[in-house]
Formats: sequence, structure tokens, C-alpha cells
Amino acid sequence: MPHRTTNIAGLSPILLTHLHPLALLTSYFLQFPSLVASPPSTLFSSVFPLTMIQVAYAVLCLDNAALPHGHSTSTTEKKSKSGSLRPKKADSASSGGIAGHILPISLSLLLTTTLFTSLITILLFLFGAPFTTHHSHTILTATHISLLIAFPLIYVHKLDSQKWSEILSFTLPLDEVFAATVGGMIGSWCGAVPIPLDWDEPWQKWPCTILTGAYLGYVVGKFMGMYVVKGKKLVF
Amino acid sequence: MNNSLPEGLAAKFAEAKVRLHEKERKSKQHIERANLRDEVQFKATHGLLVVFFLWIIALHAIGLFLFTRGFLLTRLVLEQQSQCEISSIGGVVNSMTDLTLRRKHGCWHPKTFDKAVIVVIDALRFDFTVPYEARDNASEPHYFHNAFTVLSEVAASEPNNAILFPFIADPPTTTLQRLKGLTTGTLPTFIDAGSNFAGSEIDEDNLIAQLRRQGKRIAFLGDDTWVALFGKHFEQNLTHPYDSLNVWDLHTVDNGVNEHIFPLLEQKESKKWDVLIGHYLGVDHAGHRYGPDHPAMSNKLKQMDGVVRNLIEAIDSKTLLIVMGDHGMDPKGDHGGESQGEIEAALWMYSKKGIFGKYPGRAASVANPRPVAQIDIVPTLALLLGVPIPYNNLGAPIAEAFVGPDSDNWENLVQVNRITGAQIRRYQQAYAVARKEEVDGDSIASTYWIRGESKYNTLLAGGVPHADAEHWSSIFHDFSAFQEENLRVCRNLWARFDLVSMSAGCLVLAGSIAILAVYARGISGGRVEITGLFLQCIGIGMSVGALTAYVTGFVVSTKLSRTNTALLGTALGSMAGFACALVYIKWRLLPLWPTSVWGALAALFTVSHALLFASNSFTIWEDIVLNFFLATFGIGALVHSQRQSDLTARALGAYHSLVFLILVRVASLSKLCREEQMPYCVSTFYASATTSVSAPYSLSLLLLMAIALPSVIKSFYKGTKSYEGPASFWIGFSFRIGLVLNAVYWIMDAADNGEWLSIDERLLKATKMFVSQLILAMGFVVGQVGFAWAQVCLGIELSSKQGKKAPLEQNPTSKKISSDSGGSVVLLGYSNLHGTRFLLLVITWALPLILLQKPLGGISMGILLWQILNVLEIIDCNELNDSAIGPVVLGLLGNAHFFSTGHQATLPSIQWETAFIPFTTIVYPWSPLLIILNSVGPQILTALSVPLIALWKKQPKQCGMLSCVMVCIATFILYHTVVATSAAACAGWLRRHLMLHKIFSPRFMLGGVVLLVVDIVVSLVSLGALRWNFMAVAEVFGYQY
Repeated sequence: MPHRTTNIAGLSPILLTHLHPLALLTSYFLQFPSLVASPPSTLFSSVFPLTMIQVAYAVLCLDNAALPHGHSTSTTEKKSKSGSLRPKKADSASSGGIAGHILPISLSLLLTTTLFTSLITILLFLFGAPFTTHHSHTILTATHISLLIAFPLIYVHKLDSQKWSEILSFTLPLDEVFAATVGGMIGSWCGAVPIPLDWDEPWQKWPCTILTGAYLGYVVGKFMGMYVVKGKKLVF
Repeated sequence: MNNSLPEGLAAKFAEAKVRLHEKERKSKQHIERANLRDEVQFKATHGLLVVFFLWIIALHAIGLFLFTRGFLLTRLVLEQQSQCEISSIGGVVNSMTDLTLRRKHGCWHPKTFDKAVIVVIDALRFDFTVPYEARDNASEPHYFHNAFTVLSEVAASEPNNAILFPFIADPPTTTLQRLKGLTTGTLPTFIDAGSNFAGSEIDEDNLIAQLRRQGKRIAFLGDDTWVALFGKHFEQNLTHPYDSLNVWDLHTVDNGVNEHIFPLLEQKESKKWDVLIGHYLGVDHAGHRYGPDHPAMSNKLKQMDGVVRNLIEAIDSKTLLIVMGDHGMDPKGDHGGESQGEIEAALWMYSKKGIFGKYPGRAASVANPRPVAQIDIVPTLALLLGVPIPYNNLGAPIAEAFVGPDSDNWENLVQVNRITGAQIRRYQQAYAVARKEEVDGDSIASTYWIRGESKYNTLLAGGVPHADAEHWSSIFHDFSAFQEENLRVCRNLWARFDLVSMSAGCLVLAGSIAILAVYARGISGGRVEITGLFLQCIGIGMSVGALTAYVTGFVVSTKLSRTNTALLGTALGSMAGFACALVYIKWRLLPLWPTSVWGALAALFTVSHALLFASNSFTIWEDIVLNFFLATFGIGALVHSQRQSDLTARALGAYHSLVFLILVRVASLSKLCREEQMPYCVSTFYASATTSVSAPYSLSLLLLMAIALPSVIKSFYKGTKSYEGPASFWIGFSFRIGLVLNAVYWIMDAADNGEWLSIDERLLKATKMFVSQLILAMGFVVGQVGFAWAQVCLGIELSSKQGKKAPLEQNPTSKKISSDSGGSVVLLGYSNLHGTRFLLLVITWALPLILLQKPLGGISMGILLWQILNVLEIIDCNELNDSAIGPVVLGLLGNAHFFSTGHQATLPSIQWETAFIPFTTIVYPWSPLLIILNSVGPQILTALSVPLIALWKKQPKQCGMLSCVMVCIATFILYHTVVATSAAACAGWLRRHLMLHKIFSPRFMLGGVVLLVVDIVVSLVSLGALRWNFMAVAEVFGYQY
């Protein structure tokens, strides 16, 4: 498959994919003081900007052809083998302009905000999120994390069951998107560390540290996926 | 000849027959002999392994002993006693008549009272005695408010007759420690904290001994701890002790004291004694049993109110009446720690003489009373009653009792402070001599003293013509500053640690970590055959080390005592021996760092858990951190099981991981917050935050568990068709009956507590005891014997049809033996032969361990059992039997459930009431043992399950199984050793930390206790029980290990 260097906006995806973490971190740290002051309202109001950033990232950088990876051919092979219809749709979407993106984007968003937000909420509870209080905090945090780490993954892999079973077992070769997801998860895990400390800092409150960890981990993971661990698999 | 042939044939035939018989017999004998040889060989091998782990236990015991020796604070006990004829400020009496006169009027200072009535109300917290003031409109008074009003009423209405103080105890706030402080005037050191169970006589000079020596007759009623401490000083016919440790009983002690105290106060009887001591326990017991915010507490306090009112009526003007608490209680009614509520007791002094004044320079106020240290009661009482101040007293006389009703008797006030100060100086000098140290003459304390003395002498010599209040006041302040400064110095002085001993302890523990790490993770191949070599080298090293150290102890004077040097030498020598043994097998050594993600995760969990103790916040929140780790493991297991190619394994792995994850979170909902976790924590373990009564819903959960838990366990047997042999009787019948009895016990207990039933209390109690003893006997006697004799969980199915062959061969859980005739025997449960039988032991132990927990704790133990089974299945699905993660997760689980069974790493959270589950009184050695089983029950249950990681779903004919078990056991002990060593090292490192005694010391003690208990359970019970397991399997399949 020929290497496409531009996308529908006519900009270089390589450049944009580097700008994406910058946009994420800037928006996050700009709203950080208000997040610390009142988590639920800030989290709620920042869902939309985050969605915009992620959608733009997906549309501008994550079209199949735009993924500058060698294994894209192998995925297409598998796709044709599994006979799934959606990847083909996506292929057509990449050449179909903005309108062609609307359906996959909205489907991905739907999955992100329903299924994955619930899954991540459950995960947060399992790891010890407050059980009887702070429910809005937890659910909004899960929304943020799933927009961050799950949305690009859904957009790229659609509903390819083979892919998703690889993702679930973490056997998918690491690329920019998947490494960022892994990074975001590890980041949120590490984000729990400072919570018990008796520093009496306002930002230690639930869920500021988790979210910070997720953003930082996501960005680090993304760069790792792009340059360090590209194409490698996680081993147990 | 014709006949000869057949004859010859017949003979030959007969011969052959005989030979065949012989051969058969021989081969039978041969097999028997071989079996016997195998058995002896197995027993010997197994015995050697046990010896190896006994050595590990010894190392841990030595390490912990040496560390504890240096860490838990000690203080020299001086034998000197104050004497009436030698006053602290000089003035020796020579003639007998003078001495008699002195005794009559007061030894070192003229006495104020002839007699005293001292009433101790155990756990009388200060806020029980003052009127309730609502902080805001919303808050209602608690049950403990406004019930015991007489003290504040009288103090307010007759300020010259009565005075009420907050009475500050030095922690630990246990009754024995407090009684020592209240009579000797010294500071407690940490090491005595555990000896509350067995009070031993006080050797030091104390108030009771002084009273006795000056001819006062002492009557005593109440808590028998006093008799253990001072028994020989009391008038035998006026002493009525009562058992103090039965916290279930609110009234026996109090009624007993009341029965005797009022007759003794009557005119005729009151001539028989000079000092009357009464110790009431009802308030303390009500606190332990119900917590302060309970109607029972209100009733108890009202009863005490009546008692004090009657006492006021009964005493004359020559008698001093003192009512005090020895310590307070925390919001749940327990004590032992150092929270505000625990250390703030109440002190009330009353006399009809009207002697009390105001503290100089301080406006008297009921709203803001001056706090008084508990040791201050010692010089105060001594001087008021005219006996010498006990030799080692560090307290100050309570100024209000000496300054006079008009608060102007300066001379008296200065004099008593001077006498007290001089005695403190005398003690300091004697202490310095005893420690062979220089007396520090330039200290700040000395400066105060010298300044006060010079002012005082100038005044006496007439150097100040018109000595006014200001002048006196400055002398008073110098003397009291001396006492305060000295007390401060002593507090620091007695927080002196023996760093050499502590380091030696840490060294031994660290060495044992290295040994366990190498043994568990650093050797390839089996562990069984190298045990002999290890033991040989260890033995040689041990003898050499012990001998060297013993000789060194004689030659060189070390900072350690000779015994401790020998212990250290023994430990180090044996460890060196182990290291030498490694040289022989050096080609089998492996690098220690983890090679897989699971190994790395196990190392991460262990190291992070150990590092928690370097920070007070992480130590406080250890419970949530452990659940976080367990959740991480669960997610890891879920992901990893998705990598399995076998669909069944994948589904099973996912299912068990999910159940495990959910159970972790459910169990974490049961918790008892420690004080430092507030306000970010809500306790759910008891019905409310201010009680120690379990919520009624937990009783129905217990019943539910009795129905569900055996079925859950059964499902784990069914998977391998192992619900055969003893399993169904064991689990489906005995365990279920046991759990039902457990629920019955706790329902009866709740009925007894809440007085739900109108039947005779004694009958209910007797039934309750019987049920609990029955359960304990089921678990610890019948169960253990049964386990030793039990057969393997193996079923046999005979089939003659060939057609059945196909489905059975697909099923890997059973083994099929076919015979030539076409019939076949199917062995059900063959694939998990060892595991299912060994699990019976865990179940047997689980029953009494569940009983010994509070209802919600029992539920948590049931969940733990389920989680252990989940872990075993996860380990099996993902083929992680060799990985370190299994034992480490078991260790984490045990520690996590320590918290969900309502414990914390603090002294007040010890559930002392456990001792009264099967008994009405304290019975040695069972009562302390029961408390240990309650406190570290979850760790014990996980320790018992460790061998299962190697045995679960493994074919009995597999080689190296025993060796796998050794690896698991060593890894499990390694985890606990790392945790305990880190807790010790961090406590030692942070020995100057503000929170040492609140956070780090208790965590170290918990770590040490857990390590030793886990060591003993794993090495003796788990490893020991393997012997019977292997023998039972060998009965069917022969020895293979």
C-alpha cells in the first residue's frame, strides 16, 4: 500500500500526531487548578474539548492508510480472512472526506461513552475507588480515561473480534495507539501512589492523581510506541 | 520305570509349584520390603526438610529477639527505697523517739490527712465527668454524657473541698502499666506493654510499700491486678480481689466492691484501716463490650455517680477521698494506645477540711481545667499522708492541694516542691551511678535547681527582708521548672535504643532473606536431595559460630551480652555454613532477578509492601494498598488467562479472575478504621463507630455462609470429579454443620449482649460455651485426627462396555485402567489427588478460625477460603505453579484479610474478647493462644494453603512434587520475612519519629508475630501434614515425590 503523507485536512499526519500529546497536556494542565478546586464540574465541562481533540486526532492521524506502520498490510490480510465488513467501510471512509468519517466516529464515541466507560468505572471500583461516595467523580474519571485510551483503539480496530481478543490478552503488537493505551493504564495505576501520603495537598484528592497519571502515561506510552517499542509484543 | 516318568513328572510339577509359590511369596515380600523401604526413605527425607525449616524459624526467632532487645525501651529498676528518717533535703533522725514522732506527724513534711479512700474507676474518661456542652445545635449528648455528674457538681459548688482535673496518663494505657505509674511515679517503658496478662510484683519503691512501711494499714477491694502487684502489703482480712479480665461481666467486680466498701466506712470498721483502695471495673468492661455510646455505659456511670455520692456522705474530715480513672478509652471503648481519649482520665480530690486552692498565676475555671500528669499523684499523696516520697518518683506535687484554701500558703508550696525536687535529684544521681555514667551537672534542669536553691537559702538566711508573693512564686517556678525539665529529659533518656543489638537483629533477618531468596528462587532442579548437604554444612557452621562467639564473649567485652553474642554467632555461623554448601552446587545457582512478568510482579508486590513501612502514611493505609495489589494481580490473571490457547483454560481463568477481583473488593468493604485514617474512612466492622457490637445483618450473613460456602468448595472438587471418598462427608456434612453451629454461637452471643431472649442468662452462657467448645474440638481434635487417617478423594467406577471408552478418554480428570477382559476401572478424581486431600486440612482449620473471628470477620474468612481456591485455579489455568506469584499473592491475601477481619496494626484493635469465646475465665496457655489465632487467623489460613499451589491439580505420579512444595513454602516465608524485616528496620530507623509508638512500633510487633506464627504453621503444620498426604496417596499409588 502506498504511503500517504497527507490526509483530508491536507496536513502531515506525522506532524499532527506529535502535536496531539501537546494539545492533550496543555488542555489538561490549563484546567488543572479548577479540577483540583471542583473535580466533577471541571471533569464534566472538559469532556467536550477532550472529545474534540481525540476525534481530530483520530480523523487526521489514525486513518488506516495514515498509520505509518509496516504491519498494516498484515491486518488487511486478516481482515479479508475474517470477512468483517467494517474495516472495508473504514477504508472507504478514508477516501470519502469528512462525511465518511461521521459514522465510524460516532459509533466509536458511542462505544467509548457506554461500554468502555462502564468497564473502566468497574475497574476503578475494583482498584478501590470510594464505593458509597464520589460516584460522579468516578464515572466522569472513567469517561475521561476511556476517551483517552479506548476511543483511538476502537476507532482503529473497529469491532474486529480477532483484534480485540489480542488487545484483551495484550498480545497485539505495540504501535502508537496501543502503546498509548497501555501507557495510560500504567499511568493511572501509578497515579494512585501519592493518594495516601499525608502531604495535605489539595491535588491529592480523588481523582486528580489518577487522571494526571493517565494523561502522562498516555503521552509517554504514545511516544514509546512511536519510537521505542514499535512492533514489539508484551511478554508475560 | 513306566511309572517313574509320571512320578517324576508329578514330582517335578510339585517342585515347580512349590518354586512358583516361593517365587510369588518372595516377590510379595520383595514388594512389601520395597514399599517399606520407600516409606522409610520418604519419612527420612520429609524429616530433613522439616529440620531445614526449623532452622529458618530459629534464625527468625534469633533475629527478632535481638532486635526487640535493643528496640523496645528498657529502664534500669533501682532497688533503693526512701526512708522516713532520711529526708531528701537532709536532716537525718538519729533517735527512735524522734522517728516515732516523725511518723506520727509526717515523715518529710507535716501530713494533712490521717486516712485516705482511693477509688479507681477503670477507664473513667475525663469527658464522662463534665457536663455536656453541645458544640453546635445539631449534636446530641451521647449515652456517656451527663450520667456521672457528682464530681463536677461538687467541684463547682465547693471549690475548697473538691477539685477536678483531667488526669493525663503516659501510654501505653493498659491497667497494669497505669497502676505501676500511679504508685511508683515512674515512666512506663514499652517492653512491659504485653505483660498485662500476667501482672508480676513491683520491685521498685512505691507508694503502697511506703504506706505499709510507715505503719498504715491498707484495705483493698476490686481488680485483682493490685493483689498481683502489691499483695503482701494489704491487710489480709480486708482484701477482696475479683477477677479483672472477664470483660464480658459488667457487674461482679463493682457489686463486690460495693458490698465491702460501705461497711468498711462505718464508724466501728473504719478503725481497722488507714488507707482504703477500691477499684471498679464496670465502666471499662462496658466500654470493651459495648463501647461508650451505649445505654449500658449510661447505667454504669449512673451507678458510679451514686457510689461517689454515698462515699461523700460516709467519710469524715480527717479522710481524703480520691476518685480517679487509670486511663480513658477510644471511641469504641478500647484502650492501650495514646489517643487523646485514651490518655485523658479524670482525677477528683475531695476533703471536708477545705484545703484546696488555686494554681499560682492561673484563674480557676471549671471550663478550662489544668491537666495533671498521673505520676503527680504519687508525691501528692505521699506528702498529704506524711510518708516518704517513693525513691524513683518523677512527678510533682499537685500545687492546688498545698497552696491553701486562700491560695497564699507560699512557704508550704515551695517546701513540698523542694522536697520532691531533692528526691528527684537523689534518684538521678543513683541512676547515673547504676548506669556507670557521669552525673550531668550542667544540664538545664540542674541550672533551675541551683537557682531555686540559692534563692531559697537567701530567703531563709534573711537575705530578703520582705519576702513577698512574687519572690516565693519565682522560687516555686524554679523548682517546678526543674521537675518538668527533668521529666522531659527522662522521657528522652528512656527512649534510648541499643543500636548494636538492633543492628545484630536486622543483620540476622537480612541474612535469612538472602538464604530464603537463594533457596526459593536461586537454585535449579530439586530441593529434596540437597537438603542433607545443606543441613550438614549448616550444622558445622552453627557449631563453629556458636563456639567462636562463646569464646569471644569471654575474651573481648562486646556491647552485647554473652548470651546474645552466642546467639548471634550461632545464627551467623549457620548462615555461613549454608553459603559454603552453595559452593558445592554452584553450577546449579541461578540469577535471582525475575525473568518473567509474573516474577517481576511478585517482586514488585513484595518490595513495595516492604517499602510501605518507611512512610507513616503508607503504613496507615496498608489495607487499601494491599487490596490495590490484589486487584492488580486479578487483572493480570484475567489478561494472562486470555493468552491460553486452550479454550477451557481461558474461560476458567477468566471466570476465577473475575470472581477473585469481586471478592477482593467485597472483602475490603469490611473494615475497622484506625484513628489516623479519620476522617477519610468509615468503619463498617461493628454496628457503629462508637461500639464494639456486631451489626445484626452480619448474623444472617453467617447463616448464608453456612449454606453457600460448602457448596462453593464442592464446586472446586466437582471440576476434577474429586467429590469422592471423604470429601462429601467432610465438606458437605461436617463443615456445613460446623458453620451452622458457628452461626448459632454468634446468634446466641448477640442475644446475650442485647438481652433479646428472656431465658436464664446462665443457661444461655453455658449453651454458648458448649457450642463454641464443640466447634473448636471439631476443628482442632477430630479434624486433625481425621485428616491423618483420611483416605484420598478417589472414586472408582467400573465399566465393562467398550463404548464408554471414548468420552472418558476425553476427560483428563480421571484415569482409566483397562484389563485384558475388556472391563475397565475408572479412577475419579485422579488428576487432583494431592490437592483435594490436602485442602481438607485447610477446611478443618478454617472452621475454628472462623469461629474465633467476630461475625463479619468470619464472613471475611469464608471469602478468604473462596479466594484461595480462586488463586489455585488461576495458578493452574495459567501454569504458574513454579512462579513466585502464587505464594506472594497468598501472603498478600492473608495480610489483606487481617484488616477485613476488623484488625489494625495498633494495640487497641486487639480483640481481647476472643479469649472468652470458649471459656468464662482466663485459662493459660489457651487464652493468649486464642487471641493469636484471632489476630493472625487469615495469615494462618493462607499459610496452611501454601503447599496447594504446588499440589493443586497435579497428577500424583509426578516427579519433584515435594521439591515444588518446598519452593512454594520458602517463597511464602520469604515474602513474610521481607515484610517483617522491613517493618523492624523502618521502626529502628525512624526511632525518633513522632509516631514511633503509634504507628511503627505496633507494625513491627505485628510483623514479628505474623512471621513467627506463619513460620511455625507452614513448617510444622503444612509441611508436617504433607507426610500424611503423601502416605495416603502412596497407599494407592506408591511413593513418588
